[in-house]
Amino acid sequence: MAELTSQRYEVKDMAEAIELYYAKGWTDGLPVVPPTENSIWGMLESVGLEPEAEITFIENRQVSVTAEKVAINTVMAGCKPEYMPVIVAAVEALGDARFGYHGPATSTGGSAIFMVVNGPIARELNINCGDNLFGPGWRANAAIGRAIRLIMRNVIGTLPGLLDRSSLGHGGKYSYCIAENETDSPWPPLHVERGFRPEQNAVTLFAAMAPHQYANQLSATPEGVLTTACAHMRISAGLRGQPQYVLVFAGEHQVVMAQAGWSKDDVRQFCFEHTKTSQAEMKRINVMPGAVQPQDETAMHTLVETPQDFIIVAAGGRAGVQSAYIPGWGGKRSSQSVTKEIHRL
Amino acid sequence: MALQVFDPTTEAKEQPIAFVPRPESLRNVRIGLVENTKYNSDKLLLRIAAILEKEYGAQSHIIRSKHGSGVPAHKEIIDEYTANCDVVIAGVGD
Repeated sequence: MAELTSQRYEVKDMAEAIELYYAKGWTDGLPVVPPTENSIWGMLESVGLEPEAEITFIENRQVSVTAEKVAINTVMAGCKPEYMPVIVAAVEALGDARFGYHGPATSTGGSAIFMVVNGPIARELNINCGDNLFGPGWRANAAIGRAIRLIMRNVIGTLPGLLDRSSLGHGGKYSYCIAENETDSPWPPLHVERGFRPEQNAVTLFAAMAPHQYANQLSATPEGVLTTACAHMRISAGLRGQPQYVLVFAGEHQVVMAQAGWSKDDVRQFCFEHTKTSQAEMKRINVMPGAVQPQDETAMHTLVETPQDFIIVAAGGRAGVQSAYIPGWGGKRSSQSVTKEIHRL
Repeated sequence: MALQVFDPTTEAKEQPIAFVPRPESLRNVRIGLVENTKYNSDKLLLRIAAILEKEYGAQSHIIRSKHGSGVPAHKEIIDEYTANCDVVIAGVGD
């Protein structure tokens, strides 16, 4: 039988263990669950992986991310063993060339790893897709997102001030994991749009800025709600770089879209057309260099490269007139959202 | 009761990098400039190339842009510089 090869430390009790992890610089600032032999094996057995199995290799860091290290950090984050398949799939996505780990992990732009879980596993693990969507209160949301950040920190060396040079960062860097509300959504789920069957489980990773909330309580039409959304997005964090954007529609706005029969593509096309900005405006607000020329008034810059770069997710509380958009980090050419299947035994 | 707990960290592997010998002089070298797409990085690199040509006798330069600042230079750039350049200047600027 394989053995765990990580260095072991003897401590007298849990309190001393928690302080050891602080002293070693192995936490995100909050106390961690000290990982013991039993709890680490519980994680490994939940996915049927040997400790030395490589889950991904981060080329820029020359780091092999093994199942043992993933399991240790997953215990530390407060996960149950049944969360482990989600973590394994997310770590695979971190190492995907399309995600481009080095850029979003290191940049002063300060992105976090936004995760959307789809499929039956989201409901089985009670990953919140409703009220207080981005807030605290759900173990699965808090612990799964936290595990990914701890793995980035402890295994891949993404330490603030060293290989994480975020100028500001945001709260999502503690944890930034939600599920899609597939039950109430008027649309096909995100993972189905990306080629999976509804009964498959998948996680989508996205290098993301913080969620920006907007409110519209006056409109009963998609055009009305989306005009507000586009006004907020038009001059937003990703304006220059054309990253992908996630659009999160909460309950009342989902109903508005459903009653009008708008598909995700309808929403995408409207937002693509209504978030264009003239080069003149970009120069006036100093996100494009040079003096304004007469032709700049009619030369239009799109917020994203294509309508498909708006990623639409139905989630959030049923009550309320709020929805949100999430700008991606940098530009699509440096990092794209990646969806991986979650494999369970 | 005593507990045994585990180290969550990993050390990066040693990365073997094969460096070509530095040229003894910049006289008559062909320079490849790797532009990282950030504003003014092209201006800075072209200014450096002009100094190397005027003051150090470099022969010529070419400049190509990466797909983005966060990604390595792509194959076409590497192939072109391997074939046509003696020295390469790359850097990340904000």
